[in-house]
Amino acid sequence: MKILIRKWKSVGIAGADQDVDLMQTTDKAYRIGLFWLDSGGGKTTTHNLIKVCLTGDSSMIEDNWHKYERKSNDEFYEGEGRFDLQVSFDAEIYDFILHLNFVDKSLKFEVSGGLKGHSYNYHVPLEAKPYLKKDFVDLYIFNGEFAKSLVEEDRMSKEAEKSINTICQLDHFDKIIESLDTFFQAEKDRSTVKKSDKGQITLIENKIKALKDRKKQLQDEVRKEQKQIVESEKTLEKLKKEKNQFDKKQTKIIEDIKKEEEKEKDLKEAIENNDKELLALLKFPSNISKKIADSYKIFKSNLEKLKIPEHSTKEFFKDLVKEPKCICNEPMTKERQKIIIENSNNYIGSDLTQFLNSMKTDVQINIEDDSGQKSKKIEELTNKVKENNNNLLNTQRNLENLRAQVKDLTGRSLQDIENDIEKERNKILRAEIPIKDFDEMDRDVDQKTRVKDIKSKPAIDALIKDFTQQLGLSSRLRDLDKKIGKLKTLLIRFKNESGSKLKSGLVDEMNSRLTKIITDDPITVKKEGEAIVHSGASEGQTLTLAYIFLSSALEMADEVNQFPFVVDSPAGKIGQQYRQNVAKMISKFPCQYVSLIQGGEREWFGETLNKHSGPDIKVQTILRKCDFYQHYFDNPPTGFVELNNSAWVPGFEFFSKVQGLPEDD
Amino acid sequence: MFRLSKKADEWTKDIVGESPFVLKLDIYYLFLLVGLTAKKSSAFTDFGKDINNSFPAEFKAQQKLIINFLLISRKKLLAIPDDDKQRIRSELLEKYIDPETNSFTLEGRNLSNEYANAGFEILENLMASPRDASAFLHTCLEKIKELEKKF
Repeated sequence: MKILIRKWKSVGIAGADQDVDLMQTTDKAYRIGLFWLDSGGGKTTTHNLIKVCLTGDSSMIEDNWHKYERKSNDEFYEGEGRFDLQVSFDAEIYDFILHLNFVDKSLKFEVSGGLKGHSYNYHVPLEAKPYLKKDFVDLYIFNGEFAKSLVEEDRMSKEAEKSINTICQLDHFDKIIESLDTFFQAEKDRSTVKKSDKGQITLIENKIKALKDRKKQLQDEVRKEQKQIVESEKTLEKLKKEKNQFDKKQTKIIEDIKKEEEKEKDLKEAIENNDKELLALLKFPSNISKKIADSYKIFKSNLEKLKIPEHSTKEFFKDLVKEPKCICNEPMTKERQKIIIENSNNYIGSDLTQFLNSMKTDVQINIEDDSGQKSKKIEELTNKVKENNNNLLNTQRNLENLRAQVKDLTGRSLQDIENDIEKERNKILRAEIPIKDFDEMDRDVDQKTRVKDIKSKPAIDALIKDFTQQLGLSSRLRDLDKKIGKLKTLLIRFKNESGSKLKSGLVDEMNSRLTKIITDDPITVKKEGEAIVHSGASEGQTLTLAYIFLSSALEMADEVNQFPFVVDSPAGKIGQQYRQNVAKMISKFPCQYVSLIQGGEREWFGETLNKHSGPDIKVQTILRKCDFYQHYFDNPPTGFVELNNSAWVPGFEFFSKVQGLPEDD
Repeated sequence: MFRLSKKADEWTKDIVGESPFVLKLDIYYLFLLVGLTAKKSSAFTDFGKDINNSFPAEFKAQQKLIINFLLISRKKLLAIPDDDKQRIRSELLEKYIDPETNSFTLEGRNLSNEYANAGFEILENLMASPRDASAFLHTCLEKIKELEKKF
């Protein structure tokens, strides 16, 4: 689509009456138009009215009638005004006429052109419509104020990004997608579903939507858990490294600890064995000391001296009295029997005798034959235990020191690290549960299960399939739905990939222009994801950056689309140092460029633009009829054309020397 | 019945079963040794805790020498002259030896319990309730060594 402004005419509206013709011949328009109007001459009004004509949106007039109305005491006030704009859309020429009635604040459109011919309603060619939406027209019928909505603090705005899609016709993808949806909906409506079932259908559609939402929610959760697993695995890796480093550093100490632990174990065993041996020896009291051993010997000797036990026992005499004769061969009288029985009490019984003899034998074996060896052994074992106890104490002190060193080296004990490893492993285990639930089929799920309780993706898919079948869609429609789905996916992908490539190209082009234009304080742009970010622009640079962005974008679309770049006060906020460079860039602009310029902007900008544009530029000065400019009306310069409340003079010569009102210059 | 006072039983609860003490009688025996070497006996007022009815198998080889040591210590305590055959027979041998069981008579066991209790009281004054079996054994031995000098 190539859109060109051919001419415009303004009568009875605030500012100067205008009659601007941008055509060189019937078919060829000037590529650049440079129009000088002083402050109050109607630059912004004209700019806005062009926009109203192109978009059909008159709200900016209806909200601010006073801005478009001449003052009632103005000698040229007529109570009404008219704005004519002629535009070509490719080969079609359209005339837009705005009738403004300031008395009853009414506005009337009149449009001629295209198949509809003449009409009092706004209409434009169908193909041009996407480029005549207000948002898009704002881009090329450009107001310096709008630069701020294109250039944000560190990036080009979403608005700017959107504009690339429109300029480069990527929006057509959306239209195709929209058409596909419309087509499918129409097919669905023609399906076998009865109108009376609509309520049920809505219910099922809602269920399908809820299931799809749940699936998306679960996918998000699974992604989150997968992220957690990745993070935990990284942490685990670090912890394992830490543990390995810990192990390396501690190898020597750990070896020492092991040695000391073995020593401790050996010493404890030795002490235990010594103690067992010692107790076994102590169970013979005579082993305690020579003195005690001697006391046994003395007691034994004492018993022997006292003839305890005697050679004869009590039982011998008891047997003797039962004999008819005594041992002295005398008869065993009753008297004799009594004396013998009485004296037998001086003798010990045979069982005690046996015990005492046995006891004496034990003394002989264990004490008399020992010659103090066991007592010495006790002494020896006691000393050994003492020594081992001292060694054990030292070993335990060493161990304590070594274990303390293990902790001091890292600040973290092995236990701390192992606890952290365990924690991360548990995190992974916990994260794996919802992922497993998501991936596996849950056979318990049916159509009655609450959607929020479903965790399995295959179960959700199965339910969606069931519900879809319930919707009564014919297999042809399902097939169609699938195909359209695939086609939409492809279209979205094409759109995104194309947009991405276009942005890359745009970034390169912008950087190339930025280097040439902003030479003192270089700005660069780059693509970050899908955003175009810049390295920071001052207020004076923002407008320049917006120009560069738009001019680069519009040029990129040159092959297929051309739009008139109409700018109100093009250089006002651009620093003097950049004006010449911007003007040079615009002079090479392949699209139509129209600027409504005021006093101070001529210097550097107007001059450079004229110098570099060759014969393709139309320069015109528009003067209001007022005391300040009256001398021109009295003494008209060459080419002077007088209108109702104004006049215009063609050419750069007058343009460059005309003196504007002091506040303008 | 060999028996310890409840107090002594409670005092030794942490080392019972700890090496080298396999039997509770091992600990009783150490108390007895201390008491006999000190030539002291002390009756306990509570009913006490039963240890063993008689000498177990682990003490069979030594039991006569242990009885013998009690007789020696008792003779010293009672200051029975060496030549007083009558008193040695009646106040020691026939009173404390039960030849039928090769062990103590009932009086003999009671006396043994009193010596053991005296041994416990000596040790209780010397140390806190023992936590370490080995340390207890060596403290007992040290005390016995000290006491035997005056035996």
